[in-house]
Amino acid sequence: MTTVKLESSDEKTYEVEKEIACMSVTIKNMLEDIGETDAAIPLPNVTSSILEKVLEYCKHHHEHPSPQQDEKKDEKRLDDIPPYDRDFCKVDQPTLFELILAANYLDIKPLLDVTCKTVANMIRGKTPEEIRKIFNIKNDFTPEEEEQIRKENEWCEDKGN
Amino acid sequence: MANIELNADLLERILNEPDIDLEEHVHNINFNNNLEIEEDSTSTEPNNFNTVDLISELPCEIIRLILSRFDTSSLLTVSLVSTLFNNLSNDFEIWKQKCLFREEDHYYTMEKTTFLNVSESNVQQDDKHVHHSLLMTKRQCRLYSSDLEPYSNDYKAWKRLYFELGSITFDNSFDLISNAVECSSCDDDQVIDNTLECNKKFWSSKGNADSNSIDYLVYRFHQISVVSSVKIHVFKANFQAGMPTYSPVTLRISVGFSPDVYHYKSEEFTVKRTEEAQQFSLEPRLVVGSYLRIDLIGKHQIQSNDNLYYTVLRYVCADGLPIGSLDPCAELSLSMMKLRSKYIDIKSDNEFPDESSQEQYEKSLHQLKSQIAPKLDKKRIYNGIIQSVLKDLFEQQFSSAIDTIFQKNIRSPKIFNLLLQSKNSEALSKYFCSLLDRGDVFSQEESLFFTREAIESNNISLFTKLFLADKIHSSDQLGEYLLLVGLPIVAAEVFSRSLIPDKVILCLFISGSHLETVHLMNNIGATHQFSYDYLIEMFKSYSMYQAYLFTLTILNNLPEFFDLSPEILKRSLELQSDSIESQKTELSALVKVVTDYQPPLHTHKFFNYPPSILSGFFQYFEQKIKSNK
Repeated sequence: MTTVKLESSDEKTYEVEKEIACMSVTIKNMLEDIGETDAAIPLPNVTSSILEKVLEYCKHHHEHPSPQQDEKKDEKRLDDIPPYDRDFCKVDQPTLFELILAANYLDIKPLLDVTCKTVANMIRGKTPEEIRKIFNIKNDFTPEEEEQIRKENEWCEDKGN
Repeated sequence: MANIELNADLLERILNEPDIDLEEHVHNINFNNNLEIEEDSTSTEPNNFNTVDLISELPCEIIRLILSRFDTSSLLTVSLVSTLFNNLSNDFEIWKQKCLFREEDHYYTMEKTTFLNVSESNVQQDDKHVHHSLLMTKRQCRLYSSDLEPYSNDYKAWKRLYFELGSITFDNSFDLISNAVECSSCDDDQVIDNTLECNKKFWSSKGNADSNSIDYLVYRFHQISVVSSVKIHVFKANFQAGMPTYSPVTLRISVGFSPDVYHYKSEEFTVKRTEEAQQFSLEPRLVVGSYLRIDLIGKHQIQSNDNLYYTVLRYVCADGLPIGSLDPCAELSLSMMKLRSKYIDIKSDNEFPDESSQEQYEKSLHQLKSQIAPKLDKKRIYNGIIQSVLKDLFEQQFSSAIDTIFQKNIRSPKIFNLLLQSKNSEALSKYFCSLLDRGDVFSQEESLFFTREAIESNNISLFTKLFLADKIHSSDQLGEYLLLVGLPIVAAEVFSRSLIPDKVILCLFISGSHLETVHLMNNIGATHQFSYDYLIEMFKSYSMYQAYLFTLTILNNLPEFFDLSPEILKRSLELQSDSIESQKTELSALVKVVTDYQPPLHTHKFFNYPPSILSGFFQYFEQKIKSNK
């Protein structure tokens, strides 16, 4: 069993199975570029706590490969997160967003998918005020701007879809 | 803390509830997530989390990724959150994706259409929504081609285009074809123009020895249009032996802006071998153009007198929306004009000279609108009348509904179908009373319905009266029905009026009127069409007894008619004897023996006649006959 070493931004090193590490397309490409090496691969954009979570996710999915599904159809659905992934995403907002950034940087599509879905689910079905409250977003519209957008939305709803 | 846990427990229980619906389920999960997050935040990063807007710090492409999963109404909500979210929710990439045609969307739209069809058949439910869907089938359009893009350059153009696409409805949409342009071949005077009107005339290809040969028809639209579907009626030659249907094997629909270049080519649709209308739908693709080409690929049918393959069509029509009717879809209309300019050499274009500027585009559009306006008005008036008829029917104002139909002269198969679906005795009786008083000839659908009701409620004399007065439309279907209920002679008359000699002969044969059958065939000089072999095979499947009797009648009355040889008779009827004279004797004997081969008449006896839905009309009719006497 081949392993590779990964180094987080806070200089912690992790030894993982190559196959698990290669679920990240970024790492896979790096390994292909540099070939066989004992040196740790530096991941300056990922902290150790997040890297641990990411590896936990990859390990689980490596051991429990999900049956290949019709990807196209699933992409748009928000209600089909598998139980493990759902639990995995039950973290605080900073962690969740850091996971998204890590998944994006490491190019792990399933993880990016499920974390984005989780955020999407937090937004869906809420009023603008509720959304602002959940994410501490500041309402930076002038009343005129807000009225303008309302009007535009009415036009859209009028057209139906 | 305790409170939250209690809630979480409660949610857990709700989640485990087996018959909870999906929507609610998802909602609960969201809620659950939020709780968890709040719970975590209080324990780990209390100060930071509650005050900092982390989501707006994410790179734009990630927020876009999250937003791209939203349905339209969530996107509209999100636009009201903050300037950043508003800008990203208008992002053209998101809306462009929504505008484009994708196979799985097609699947969902199909599902929707099927659902609408189901509700159409349940129209007797006193439900106005259902009724609405009968006339208005709203379907979403999507761009099939990335060539078609918004006219404007601003970043909200794709969003506008998306909503305009969704606002298109094909309710009572237009017949787009204005004239025929050319066809690959035509047989004598059976020209392509015959397909423009739905009548008995037809277009026929030239005969071809190759069954794989391809023919094509080209039509021009009134103006640039969105094409939703193409409908064809294949020609069935009832006057030929065997009543052949000259359909192509498959067809392909192409749409373009000139008769030479077609930017849209459909898949190959299989064509059924039937004379019934066949519709080939292009939705939900937004197919745009001003010329239509139909390739008719392969041929099924040989014409017996020259042994060549033919394709024959009676009617072609294209359904959709002309650009002038797309008001107020400004973005879409302009983008259609822009697409056209990609395929047409503007300089040599005499239709709309120099339309490079938006001003020119809009000027041309204005012209197109006024060109189509009178037709749209007509359509609007017609729809208004239909709506008022529907309203009257639902409010049980039958007299008013029927009066409107006749006064506004909108009698049509569609209207009659609406009445049938209402299944209301008073409305239908009132309708037929008006027809009778006006002395109108019943349409094909009306005739068929009236005949059924009259015969199945023992009012056959009323049918006969109208039939003899030439008020009944003779059709293949009517003849078939009369044959089925055991009235072969009347059926023969109906088939003869509808020019279907095959079935006339069959009816006379079934009725046992062999002498008449033989004389009829002699009169129409039918020997080249109806060979003895062809007829006897047809008859044998009905009754061996009658087949013997028929042959005997020929031999006794018109022996030279079919030029029958002892060999033919021996083979087709499996006779023992070798000369005509001894075969006659054998047949006479057989006829006596095989008496149990009675003709399988479907003598449908209606012993206890159920009250007819038209009973009101029948009473009125009888009274009218009495008072005339």
